[in-house]
Amino acid sequence: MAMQQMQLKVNGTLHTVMEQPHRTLLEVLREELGFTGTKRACRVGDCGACTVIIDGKAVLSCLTLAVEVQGREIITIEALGDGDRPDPLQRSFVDCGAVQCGFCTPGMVMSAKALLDENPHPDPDEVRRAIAGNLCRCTGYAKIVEAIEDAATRLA
Amino acid sequence: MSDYAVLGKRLPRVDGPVKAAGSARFTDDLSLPGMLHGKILRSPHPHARILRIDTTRAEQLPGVRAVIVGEDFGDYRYGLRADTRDEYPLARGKVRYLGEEVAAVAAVDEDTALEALELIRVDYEVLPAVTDPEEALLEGAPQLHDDKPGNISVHMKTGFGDVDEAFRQADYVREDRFYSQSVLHGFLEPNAALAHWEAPNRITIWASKQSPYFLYRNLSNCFNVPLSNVRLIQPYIGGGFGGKNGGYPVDFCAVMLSKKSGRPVKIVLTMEEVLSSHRRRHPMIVRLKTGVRKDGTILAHDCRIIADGGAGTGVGPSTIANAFYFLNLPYVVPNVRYEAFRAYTNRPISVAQRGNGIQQIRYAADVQLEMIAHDLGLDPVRIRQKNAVYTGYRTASGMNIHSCGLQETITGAVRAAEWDTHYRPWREKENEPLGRIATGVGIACNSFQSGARLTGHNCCTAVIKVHEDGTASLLTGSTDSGQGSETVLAMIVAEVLGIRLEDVFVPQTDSTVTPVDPGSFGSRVSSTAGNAVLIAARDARQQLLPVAAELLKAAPEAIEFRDCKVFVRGAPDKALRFRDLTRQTVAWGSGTSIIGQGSWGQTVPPMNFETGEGDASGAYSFGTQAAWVEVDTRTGRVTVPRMVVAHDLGFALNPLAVEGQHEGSIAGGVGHTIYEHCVEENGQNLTPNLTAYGLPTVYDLPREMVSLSIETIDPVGAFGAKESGEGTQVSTIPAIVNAIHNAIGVWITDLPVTPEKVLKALRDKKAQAKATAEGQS
Amino acid sequence: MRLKKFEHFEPRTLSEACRLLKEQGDKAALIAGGTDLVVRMKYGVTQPQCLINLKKVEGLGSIALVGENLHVGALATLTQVRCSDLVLERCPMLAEAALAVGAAQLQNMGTIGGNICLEPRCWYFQQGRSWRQARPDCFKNGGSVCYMAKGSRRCHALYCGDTAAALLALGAKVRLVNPGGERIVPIEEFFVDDGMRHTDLQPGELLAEVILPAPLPGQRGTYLKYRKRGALDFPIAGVAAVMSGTTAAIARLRIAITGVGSSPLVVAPPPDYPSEAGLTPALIDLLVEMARKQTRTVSHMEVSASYRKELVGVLVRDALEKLGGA
Repeated sequence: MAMQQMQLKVNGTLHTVMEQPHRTLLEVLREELGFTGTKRACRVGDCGACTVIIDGKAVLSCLTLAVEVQGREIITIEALGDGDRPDPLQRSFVDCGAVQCGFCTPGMVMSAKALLDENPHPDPDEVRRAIAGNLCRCTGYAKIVEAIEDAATRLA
Repeated sequence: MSDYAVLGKRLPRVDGPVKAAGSARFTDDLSLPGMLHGKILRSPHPHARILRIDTTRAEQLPGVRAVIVGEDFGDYRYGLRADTRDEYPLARGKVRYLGEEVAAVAAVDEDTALEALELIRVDYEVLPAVTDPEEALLEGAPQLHDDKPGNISVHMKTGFGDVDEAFRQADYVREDRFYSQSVLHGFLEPNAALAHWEAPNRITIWASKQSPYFLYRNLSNCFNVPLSNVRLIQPYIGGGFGGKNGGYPVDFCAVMLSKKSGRPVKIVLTMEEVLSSHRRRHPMIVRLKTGVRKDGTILAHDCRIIADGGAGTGVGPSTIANAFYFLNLPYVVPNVRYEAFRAYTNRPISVAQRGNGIQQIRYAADVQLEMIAHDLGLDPVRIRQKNAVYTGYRTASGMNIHSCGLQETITGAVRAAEWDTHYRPWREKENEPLGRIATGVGIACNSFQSGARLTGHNCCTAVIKVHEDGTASLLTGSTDSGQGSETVLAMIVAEVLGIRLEDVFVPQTDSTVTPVDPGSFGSRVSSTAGNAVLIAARDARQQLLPVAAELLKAAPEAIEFRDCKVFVRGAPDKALRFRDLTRQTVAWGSGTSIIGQGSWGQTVPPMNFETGEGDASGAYSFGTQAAWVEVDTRTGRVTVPRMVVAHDLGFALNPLAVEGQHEGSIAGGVGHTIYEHCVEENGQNLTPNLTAYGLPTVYDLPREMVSLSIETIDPVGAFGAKESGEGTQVSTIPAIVNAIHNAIGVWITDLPVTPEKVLKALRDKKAQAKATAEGQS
Repeated sequence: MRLKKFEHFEPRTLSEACRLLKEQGDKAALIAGGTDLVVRMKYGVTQPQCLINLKKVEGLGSIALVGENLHVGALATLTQVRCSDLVLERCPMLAEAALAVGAAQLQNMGTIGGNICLEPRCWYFQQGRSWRQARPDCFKNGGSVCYMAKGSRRCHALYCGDTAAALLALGAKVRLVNPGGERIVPIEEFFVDDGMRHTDLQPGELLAEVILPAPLPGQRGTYLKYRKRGALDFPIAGVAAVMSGTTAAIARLRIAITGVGSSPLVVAPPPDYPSEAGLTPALIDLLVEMARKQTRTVSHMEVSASYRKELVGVLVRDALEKLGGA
């Protein structure tokens, strides 16, 4: 159960950390690598706030062991542009009023990104299905669905 | 229409980009060099005497830097008022609810801190517990607080007019019992604090607080340090809804652990801790008796409430007073009597939650009005129109209505809901067989305070620094926990100074820098802080005017600020750029700084917790909600595919933000009505995770939400604005419950509306009809 | 809510995995998608000293035809299952069931093997340490009470796997591999009606794949799930129904129910029921009644036992009507 060297490819960059196998990807991203955009909320897979994309699929980093995702493509919210050059999804979230407290937002955006990367023209049901595992208390989801549809249009 | 350059526009929120980028820092995202991680040990009993706490083994665990227990805080207690201070940072002598904080540790990492918790030994003498508020008030019930006999946390008894005479004159009187369950705030960011004690007596704390200045005072008192040495810096807040107002054990413990260890300490609760032992909405039993004339005119309310306060008082007095105030609105009630007990129980502490006490009373009153309409064969819309209050109305208890668009909200909601197409009274439908899916529509009205007028310091202050390049910083102690107030306040600055929204920066609250503020509760920020910002912005503009007048060679009164320009009214082509004006002003003479300041507090006297007489606020919002429901008559499941909010908010400062508030209110209201429930057994929460608790997903909320703003331009609020984020959740419950009756003919008087309850009600109704039929034959 | 330390093994072959599992015995747990196990580990109700991670076992996630049968590897994620052309073509109801699990992220992570082996659950079991300290441990946490059925001498935790219902109705088999070899058993024999130990997996044995027989002529099926919210929740009741032949003359009809007991239930017309009678209202009534009778459940999740039985009846009726109308 000793420390072991782990290599994690996050947002295209290979990071080497010394970690033990019991550390979740969420913990390593936030505590070791400083990717705090990925949020820690329920920690047990109930809320989706920690969603990241691994090999193109939206997954919950709170239930993923860091040790088992070595060598895979991990994408976090930090990869999606920044305040100056936002990703179309981020722009749509802001413009459509899909952001309120913002705590669910990174996870929500990652779920939406995984959807649009795979299916650039989702219908409203597909949009809702993609974010059904992401809880939001502030918005009632209406503007989030609208933002994702808006981003799909911008990307088209 | 108003001629504003910035206000009234659908502008995206100013903190949107950083939040969407994931770079907005919440408390848990912060860390300091040498920082320790704190964890809290909680009581496994709802009621027990603490005989002994042995922390020796925990202290000896390598990596542990500090362990604290109740005694470390001496006799410090906190609460809203001097007579209600019944909460401890860590339990002293007794634990009063399951999950109450007993000890805390700080260690080099979370794993070690958790391991240390397991090494703390607490010997308890288990005491009988009482978890039902009605039982708690009975003689012989287990007592929670020695100085509060009978488990009475708050008692309010009042009345106006002659209720008995009104009942004698009434054509119809009915009395019903309603119950509203235990629900949580549901914010996704768990409570968190990062504290740094610097000897001898300086505290810096980053904590997730919607009303940070409560904690600022709490920490000064608790640790006996001057307020100037309490630096509370407010990171982004992941939702509050009333659950992040004051100081909580997580905050006190972080500071004490830092003091003891000499290192910064961060504590982040788990969602399990939040859901099982943090604050929540008051469960309430409401017994309401109402007398009306046969045309539906309300003559009197007689209301008795038993509220479950949990183990502490919190802001309970305001909750109990609010329930009374809003028994008087939004309908004309000439005679009113009210008695409420807030009982202590061995449950987590009940506090304010979006709507603070008003949901519960309006659920009862508006569903009962629907019952009365049904009983008397009256139209549900017309009975509301008939009873609606109006501008200039004064309630029997002395609340004064200065602006009221209630009638317009009713009309608007009815139109948006296509009411006339969809509504058929239940009486017309009741003999038709119920299909598998029965549909119905329901309506309910609300009113709310635009800024709760509490006692003590109740004003907001704003400071605006205008920089020489024409940008501005707004210092305010009013926090944005997600509702968008930061954006709206910045818009006010931009409007008055004639600059762009992006030219205004609002740093987050920092108690050593920003002015003291009551906090973001009771829907006070847009109206109260808004006025303070307006005054401050005018003050800053005033400081720019002499130089502008000089440069433009015009009288100061004739000068206008707009579109980043300063010009003589009517001659925008001969304009001065705003940033040239600021540059020149700053350098004028030997130089100056442009710092506008403004304070504004409500002019009405403070809330009267004893009699409920007078105003609860300087302004009241009004609104109407309409719900469309589908009831599966075989499973009892209720869904709400469509909901309309029509709200008299005075003036929509930012319509995009307003819509977000309306939709969020529907989310909270639908959750409260149908999905959410802290299910408990002997004081133990069986639903301490978001799945068991049932926070609604995208599939569970109305697919279609319609938001209508009715603008009445209130004389008090900033630019005529009133609240639009809490009242909007008040009538969600009765609108849905009334719609359920319209669909299937049963009244749900016990929340939440679970499918099983609906099915049982349908069955009971059928059995009753059969019994009646047999009795007649 | 943090994991305790464990040793982590990543076997490359099934036999290596079995050997490790046998060697480590009770100390070990198998991990695939982790969406069930990691949560239990976080709550501290399962504390394996070593994890045998199946993710790197070659070929364990394949979905392929072998002769007439469709073989779905245990490591296939629920997303792979629901998107597989072979699954959609031959038994779309399995895709329907996979889509009903949790939400997108959980389908991307969770595997069909994990969903089949899903630990039975109740409100009293999967809770944090301090929560559990508030009352004596239940059977599942090493104690001797069941809070779901007070006075009971056994654990009544509820089995909540969605895909199992579909697989039972479809007549699937499972291939179980152990250090000494393997066995293939009908999936109904795999489940045991015991909240403590709900599968017939023997020490050192693991579920390697699911084998689905070729669809019969006219085969159609559906999976209906009733839950509190539209996503994320486990079923309060889930009903899978498969019918082949025609509405007028049924060749085979099977119903499976999940979420109501410690193992899924199978309901089929009585052997003497004349199949040539077709899917008549009388047969539907009979099956609804049988399903309700066979459902022996407990009160849970604000849901009484009688309501859950009633729900089963509604779902069975809806499923059969849907098949009949197809």
